[in-house]
Order: sequence, then C-alpha cells, then structure tokens
Amino acid sequence: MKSAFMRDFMNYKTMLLMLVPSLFFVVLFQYLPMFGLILAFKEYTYGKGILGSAWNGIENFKFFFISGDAWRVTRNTVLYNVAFIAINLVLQVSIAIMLSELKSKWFKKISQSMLFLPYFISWVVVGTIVYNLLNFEHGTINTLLRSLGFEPFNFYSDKGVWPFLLVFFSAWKAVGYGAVFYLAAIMSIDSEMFEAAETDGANVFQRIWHITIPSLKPTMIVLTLLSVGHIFRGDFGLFYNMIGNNGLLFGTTDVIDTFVYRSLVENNEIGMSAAIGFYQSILCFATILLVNGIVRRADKDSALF
Amino acid sequence: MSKKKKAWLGTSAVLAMSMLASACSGGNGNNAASGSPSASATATSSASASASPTASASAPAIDTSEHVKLKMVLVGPKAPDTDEVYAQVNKILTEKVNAELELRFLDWNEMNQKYPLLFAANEDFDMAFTASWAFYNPTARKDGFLELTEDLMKTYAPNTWANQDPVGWDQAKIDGKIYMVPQDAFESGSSVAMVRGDLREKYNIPELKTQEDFVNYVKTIAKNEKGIVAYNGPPTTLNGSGAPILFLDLEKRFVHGSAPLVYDMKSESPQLTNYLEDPKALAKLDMMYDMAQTGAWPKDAIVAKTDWHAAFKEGKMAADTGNILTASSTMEAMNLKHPEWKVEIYDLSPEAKRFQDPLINNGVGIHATSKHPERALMVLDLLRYDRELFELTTYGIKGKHWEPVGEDRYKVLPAGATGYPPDGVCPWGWRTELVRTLDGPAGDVLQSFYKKWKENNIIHSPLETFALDDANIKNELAALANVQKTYLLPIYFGLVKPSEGIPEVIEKMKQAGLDKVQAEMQKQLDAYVASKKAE
Repeated sequence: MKSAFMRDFMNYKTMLLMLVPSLFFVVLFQYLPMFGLILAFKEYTYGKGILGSAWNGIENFKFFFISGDAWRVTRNTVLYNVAFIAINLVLQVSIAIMLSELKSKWFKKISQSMLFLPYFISWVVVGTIVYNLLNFEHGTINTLLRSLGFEPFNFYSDKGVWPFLLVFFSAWKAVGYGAVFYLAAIMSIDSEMFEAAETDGANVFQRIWHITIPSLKPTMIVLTLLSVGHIFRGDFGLFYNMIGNNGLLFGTTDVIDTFVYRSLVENNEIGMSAAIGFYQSILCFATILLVNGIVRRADKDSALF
Repeated sequence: MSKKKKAWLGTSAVLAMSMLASACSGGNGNNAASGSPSASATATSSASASASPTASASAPAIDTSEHVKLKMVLVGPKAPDTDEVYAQVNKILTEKVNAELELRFLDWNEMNQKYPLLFAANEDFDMAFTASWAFYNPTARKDGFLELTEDLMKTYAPNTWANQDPVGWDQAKIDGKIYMVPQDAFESGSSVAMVRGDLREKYNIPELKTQEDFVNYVKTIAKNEKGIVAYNGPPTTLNGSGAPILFLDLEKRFVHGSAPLVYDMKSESPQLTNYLEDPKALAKLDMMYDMAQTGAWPKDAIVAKTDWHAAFKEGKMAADTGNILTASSTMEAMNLKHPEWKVEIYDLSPEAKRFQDPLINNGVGIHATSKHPERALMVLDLLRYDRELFELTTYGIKGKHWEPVGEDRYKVLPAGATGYPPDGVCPWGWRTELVRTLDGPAGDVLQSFYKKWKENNIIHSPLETFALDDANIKNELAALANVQKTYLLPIYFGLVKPSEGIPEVIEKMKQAGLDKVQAEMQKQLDAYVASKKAE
C-alpha cells in the first residue's frame, strides 16, 4: 500500500510540485479563514478579539429572520441564480459554437474580444450606464420614446421589468467570459470526428448536435455544478449598483446580500455578517451535495465527487 | 482533466463560500483589553525634564526624549496642500513635544466601510477622528478606544482637562467611562434652507418665512423654470427623519436613527412615541408627496447618484437644505463665483426650540492599542490650545490660504479655496474657542443665526448626554433599519402615497420588533432621567 503511494508520488512529483502554489493558496485563503466562522456565534469586540469575545448562541442570526423578509430574499436569490445559470449556460454554449464555426480568423478574434469586454467593466460603471439609459427625465430610451411620440416609461418604479433587465445585464457581462471555457473545450475535440462526419455527409447542424454538444457535456456539468455552489449568494455588485436604495423594486430584486448590507451598514456587527455568511454556506453546501448526488446517479463520470 | 482534479476543484469552490464570513478576521488575536496601557508611562517621572509646554505646576515632568511618529486617522478628502501644512505642524510639534503626525485620510465614500475595519484589523495608528455620527458609540463599546481616565488627562492634556466644558465629558461617557476628547465650541446643526434670490425675485415670491413658503417656492420653480431641478428632496439613505428641515417645528428628537421613535425635547420625563403615528408628522409626509407630484425632484431621484449639494453650487438646482455651517460656507463659495444668484439662507421654523449640537459631534479618540497614548494626548492638547498649531491645522498657512480679520474673524485667500479649504481638512476634532468666524455676509448670517438661537431657541434637556446601549436590541435595530429603507424611503420620495404606505410600514416595523425596541429604549431613558435627578 505504502509503496504504491510512494510510487505514485515519485511518478507524479513534477505535477505535484506544480500543485503546491494553488494548494498553498487554498489553505491560506479558504481553510484558514474558515475558523473565523465561529464569529457567527460570538459577540465580537475589538478588545477581546476573535477567540476572547463572548459566545452568544444564535443571537446573531435573529435580525435576519424577525423581519419576515428572510424567505422572500432567499427565494429571490435562488431564482435569480437559477435564471443566471440556465440562461448564461445556453448563451455561452451557443456563442462558443458559433465562434468556433466562424471561418474568418480576423472576424472571430474581433467578435470574441467584443464579447469579452463587458466582463472587465465594473458593476459600478454598469449601474451608471444603465441609469443613464433608463432614467425617466433624460435617459436615452425615454428620450427616444418621447421624440417618437410615445409615452415615456418609468423603469425605476415598475418592479415587473427588473428581473428581465437584471438577467439581461448579467448575461451581457458574463457571456464572453464563459464562452471561452467552452471554446477551449471545443478546440480539444478530436478533429478526426468532424472529418469523419463530414465524409459521411453530415451537415453543420448534425455535426454540432451529434458531436460538439455531447463532447461539451462534461464541461457544462462541471461549470454548472460550480455555479450551483454559489446559488445562495446574490451578486452584490450587480444588485446593489442597479437597484440601489429603491425600495419600490425590492419586492422582485432584493437578494440576501443586499438585504444584509442594508441592515448592517450602520451597525458594523461583524458577528451578524458572519452569521449570514454561515447561513448561505450551509445552504450552498446542502445544495451542492444534493445536485452532485443527482448527477452521480444519472452519470457517474460527470459528478464532481 | 482527471476526475480527481475535478473533485478537488469542486470542493474548493464549496469551501470558498465560507470566506465571506471571515474576510475581516485578520490578525486580531489577543489584544489586551484597554486596561491601563499608561501605567508604565505615568510612573516615569524621571530626570529628563523636557520643556513641555503642557506641564503645569502640579504635573510630573514627562519624558519626551524619544522622538515618536504618531499616526492619526482623519475623515474626508485630503486637500492638495495638506502635506505642506503638516510639514510646518510637525516642525512645531517636534520642537515642543518631540513628536510628529502622520495622517491617513478616509474619504467620505469609503469611511463607512473602512473605519470599523481599521479597528477590527487592529491597524497601527494612535489617534482617530471620531464623533457621535462617526462610530463613536459602537467603537467605544467594542473597546476600540483607550479609556481616558482623569489621571491620564490631567497629566498629559492638562489644558484640555481644565478648559473643556464638562457637558462634553458627560456626553462622551459610555457606561460611565470616557473614550474621546470632544470638541469645545458652540455649534447648532439645525437645518436651514438655501434658495436662489434671483429666481425668487423673478417669480415675485416674497422672502421665505415658513415651511409653506419654501414648499411654494419649490413648486413654483418646478412648474415654471425649465432645465433646473427645483429641490433634491430626501437623501437616498434614511437615518432618522428624511427631511429634518420640515420636522424641525415638531420639536421631537430621535433616540436612534434606525427606529422611528421620538420624544418631546421639552419634556422633563420624555415618553417615546412613533412619529409615523403623529398626524402632524404625516402632514409633513403629505407635503413631500405633494412636492413630488409637481416634479420638485426627478421621478427616479431615489436611485440618482447625483451630488445635489454640488448641483446647487453649480446652479443646477434651485433650493438646498443643510446645517447652517455648511450653508454659510456654500453661500460664501457661491457669492464669490456667482454674486448674481443672490443666495439666501432662511430658518423656516424660527420659533422652534432646538438642542445645541452635542459636543461629541466631533472629537478625537486614542486607539486602544496605541503604543504612545501619552504623547498622542500631549499633541492633542497642543492642537486644541496652541494658537499657532490650531490655526495651521484649521485654516492652513497664514498669508497663503487665509488671513486673519481682527481678533476672531478670517478671510479665505484664493489659494485656500482649493489648496487647503479653511476648516475643511478635518480639524473639527480639536475645535475649541480659538475658532474664528468667516468674514463677510456668510459669516454675518451664521453669527446672526447663532445669536438668535442662543437667545431664543436653544433648550437643554437632561437627555442631552444620553447614549443608548443597544446590546439587547441589536437584532431589532438592524431589522428596523432595513424596514425603513425598504418601505419608508419610497414614501419620503413621494413614490407611494403616505396614507396608503404608512400602515404597511408600521405593520412591518411591529413585525421587526418595534415594541421591544420601544420598551427597551424607554427603560433606559427613564433610568437615565432618574439618575440625573438623583445627582
């Protein structure tokens, strides 16, 4: 047994060496900070520090649940994330396929860069752009509507349109980045399969449907599982910068992270923020176990663990 | 990609989620509590009698032979000439107490996030600006500041101890202990209205005397004057009342900005009520709703990121409200650039009684883990009472940024307006009676208001020095803060009709524990009033 382990170790020693930096990173930034979770159950003071502060049971979790909105924001968070995951997946895969089918190298590079660009724009900037597009008095869209003789539309008081807007902007920002993963996966598909299919007279759609998409399946599953791991975390940058303090829209746009921010921005209770982080982690952990279990049952090789 | 590698990736993603919780848990292990870091220092009454200007006859000689660099945290933007000014400050400080200051500025937009983190991460600094509105209460309760004992103050800041208005110490007390040196100058942050005199005359509106006059002015501008925002309305975050200027004449006072509970300023034994159930307050909300319907502020002002005070200064807004200090300096700046706008300042509730601002509205705290708390106090004592240092830090370099006018007034020089705005680079923490008044019409307005208020309007209450202990109601306050921002703020902006929205707000607040908060606050208020009477 031991000798087998040693043999493996020796065989892969270069690989293992390459693993060291990322292992170090994970231990330093993810395992070590985990002990900070005890703050969720403590009344933290600067003087006594993390270990010295007094325990206070589940006191830190209460503020989240007594407001009566805990269910609403948790539901919103999950639904938004499900929508983001599903729509981004479809868009990313189709764009990756389209890009891979492009013949002109020049055009391919340009469009890929253009798609990738929004990924680098911060949500703060996106929030401002969106405000300038949509605001009632001087927004681009409303100015256009007025000049064409239509009634202007007040986006910032209609909570029905925001789920669509948020999903749209999230996709706009994430699609280029995600497509790169799939593009890379497509490049690694054995080109002999395509050639064989072509010889057999398959047209372009048949090739995509029967070769490209099945080959992408493992990548899709892994990336989706990874995003499912974050399903109870709202993207604070997205929601806060697009919605801000507009209570009129909170019914459909409030997620756990913005809710907690609004509650705690003035009182700086680190313990309470830790408590919500803990709540989200537990739910995410349960979700990923569940989803992974389902995947493993359906297709053992695609499961993460 | 092997299965194993994938599994590993997946696990790490799950683990990554637990990070948020502990992102701020940096090296803060085992600080000793803020017990007595000065014990050793007080003991060193040694031979090296340095010529300390603060040493009064009774104080022991203080050893200042070691040159120390003190780090001080200030708030607001750092002005371009700050380094130049503080180079001079440090020259004097080195001479007098063998110390120098190194500044760190937290700009307004980052202050809320970073200020508490400086303490949580136990960063290396010695003193920090603090205030009742800038984390004094929570930081002191979490042992972020050094307790300032009488011994400590008498020895190292004797002038401060001798001259400070004792009310300030009372206000600074948290559970009987003092953690900050408050400012010591009269201030009243009462809200006043600023309007454009040229527009007022254009529409033949007489001078404003009441809130209705103001509302009328705003509505007239909104209807007739195109290309200008009439008034910005409430702020986009809600803490206490969203329109202090309209609530002034109710003579009510909030205990905590997150709860709608107020008490009567004039009452001897104050009882808390919910202002959202007070018909007079609801009339104010109707007034706001009415203004919003005439287009006083943009329909989506609630999400606007505009700096409205700047908009008023640039002539893009026709009315602004704010405390009298800010208003007078705004007026000064606008008169310089656009005298034709004829900015006017009005007190819309001239009869309303009001409190003097608590002295802890500005102050300086010593970091609990500072290595040189004694020297920090000595420096603070100098900043407060050494005229040269006080004027350097407050107004900048004499002859470059400002010049004195007579004994107690000053004039801003052109270089000062941009290089080192007088009274603008966070010198507020050590403001004392050495403070000068701006010369010219703006200064006159300020003085005349102060004079009138001192004579007619300022009242004192036993609760002036009350500081809430939120230990038992933290959860409810957090939940209430959320309810206010979610359901009440849109009403202030006139997006929801008060008569329809308020019942929902009250219901949500009850759910969030308003009754418990009210009981707890009332209990503390009663106990405080009783203890004051017993004295």
